[in-house]
Amino acid sequence: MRNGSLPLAFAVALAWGVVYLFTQVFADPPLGVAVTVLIGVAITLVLTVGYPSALRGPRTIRPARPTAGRHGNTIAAVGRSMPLRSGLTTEAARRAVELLHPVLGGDSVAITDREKVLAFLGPGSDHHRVGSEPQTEASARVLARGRTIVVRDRRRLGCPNADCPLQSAVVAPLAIGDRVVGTLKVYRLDDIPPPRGVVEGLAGILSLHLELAELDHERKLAVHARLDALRAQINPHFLFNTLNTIASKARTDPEEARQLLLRLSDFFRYAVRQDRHLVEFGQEYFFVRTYLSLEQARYGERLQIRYDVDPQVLTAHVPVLTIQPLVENAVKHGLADKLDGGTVTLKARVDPLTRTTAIRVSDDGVGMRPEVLEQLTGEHGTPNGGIGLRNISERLEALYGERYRLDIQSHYGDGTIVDLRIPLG
Amino acid sequence: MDSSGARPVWFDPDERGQWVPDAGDEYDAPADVDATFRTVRRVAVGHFLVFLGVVVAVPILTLTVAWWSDGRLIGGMTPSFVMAAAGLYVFFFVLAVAAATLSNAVEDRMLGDPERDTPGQDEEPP
Repeated sequence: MRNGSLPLAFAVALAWGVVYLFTQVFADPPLGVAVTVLIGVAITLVLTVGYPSALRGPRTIRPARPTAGRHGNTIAAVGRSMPLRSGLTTEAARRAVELLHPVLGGDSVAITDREKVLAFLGPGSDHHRVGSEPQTEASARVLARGRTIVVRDRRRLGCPNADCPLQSAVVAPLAIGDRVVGTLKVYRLDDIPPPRGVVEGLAGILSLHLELAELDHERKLAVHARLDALRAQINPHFLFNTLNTIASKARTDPEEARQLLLRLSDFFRYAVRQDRHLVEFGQEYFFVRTYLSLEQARYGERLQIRYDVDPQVLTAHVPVLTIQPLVENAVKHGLADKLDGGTVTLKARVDPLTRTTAIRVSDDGVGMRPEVLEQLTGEHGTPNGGIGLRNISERLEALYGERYRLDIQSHYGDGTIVDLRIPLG
Repeated sequence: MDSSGARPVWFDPDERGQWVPDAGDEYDAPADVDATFRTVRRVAVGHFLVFLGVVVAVPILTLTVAWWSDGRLIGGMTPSFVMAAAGLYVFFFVLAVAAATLSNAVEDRMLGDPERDTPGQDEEPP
């Protein structure tokens, strides 16, 4: 995913040169201007549109959207469509019953949670209303026991409405693990109940979807927890050192001490306020500037800073609290131990062709020994490698999956370079 | 950087009742200003290259494409004449506006303290 703009510019220029040669020099008589421009524009379009795709590599082919109600592969279609993948909600249940109704062999289909009917499709919907409590005794038994039941006559169905046309039913539990969270109910207007195996099978698939939805929810909670952990992890030594620096400046340079206090408050305000996962790079840049200005007050001339920021990157979205820990590592592990100090460089670029934001934090500090680097870049990382780096890596994985890169290069005595590449957002 | 032009908010009793600038507004370190300068310079160089490309394209088109000088557009004007009479000025205006807008946006995001534009919103309730 290297920057591909220059090769593309070269290719476009070359294409226009070739077009000019073939249409104006070699052709006898030369082609008209309109035709020449048209050919050139067409080739430019193909190059400009096709080149980023070529850089990104082949895309995965999406499976065809399943058609509800088509028999033959209907069970598989339900499995793929994942109507309850977002959880047991009214909207998801409505979509699920619409999808399941034709394949379950029943006249009415309903989905409930433990308290209310979430969706009902078919005869009986006049009194089995969405939002009301499940009225049949069968539902209460399934919710209590967690087992499928087959009801063959209207009396055992237990609907309190005397005009209810529903005669038989199969009611299967929807469960997350051992916990019954709802029911899938398939009714018929005669006394021959729907096929139990099909209903149970589909209830199993829906339960699996619900389980996946819960896993998703837990994963999001975990990402939140990691963000909280990073926020809480703000090094207390950093606070002590900064306060000491401010205390030492209070007498000699009260104005600078005041400035530093303001910046310290900005630093903590930013860290505490962030509850989103992505923010504009400009905001993270402000956070990094604030942090480095505090560190610079402490290290003085030993800490030099260089920012190299593309104008386009300022509005790109980056994961919150990601860049500052990388910069903090560069200061703490790279320069703090180097007697004559050094320079921390933050470089940020956007490649519009590959739709990538590239952020590089480098220092010319003491670097890392190969074994430390090996531990850091190894599969499991190391507790000594810093919670920060591992936390960033885990959050990036949760946000982008495989679509990010976090590379660390270091030579002992020659500094460290951390490269982060994330999708442009 | 204080680009808002708002009235200073800090009152210093030692200054005998005079308003003094809020020192908190002087937020930018030399490295911040250097970085902004480099980024704005990049904006300027990029726009200049576009400017140069278009301006140089006019004589190149005159030399290489006969239609550029002989063709007729609306009102019997040649493309070359239209470009020299109006097209270039429109292009200059658009390019200048684009460069100025982007440069201002860069300065707004890279200098000053965006957090302090909304004071007091993180105060705990009594």
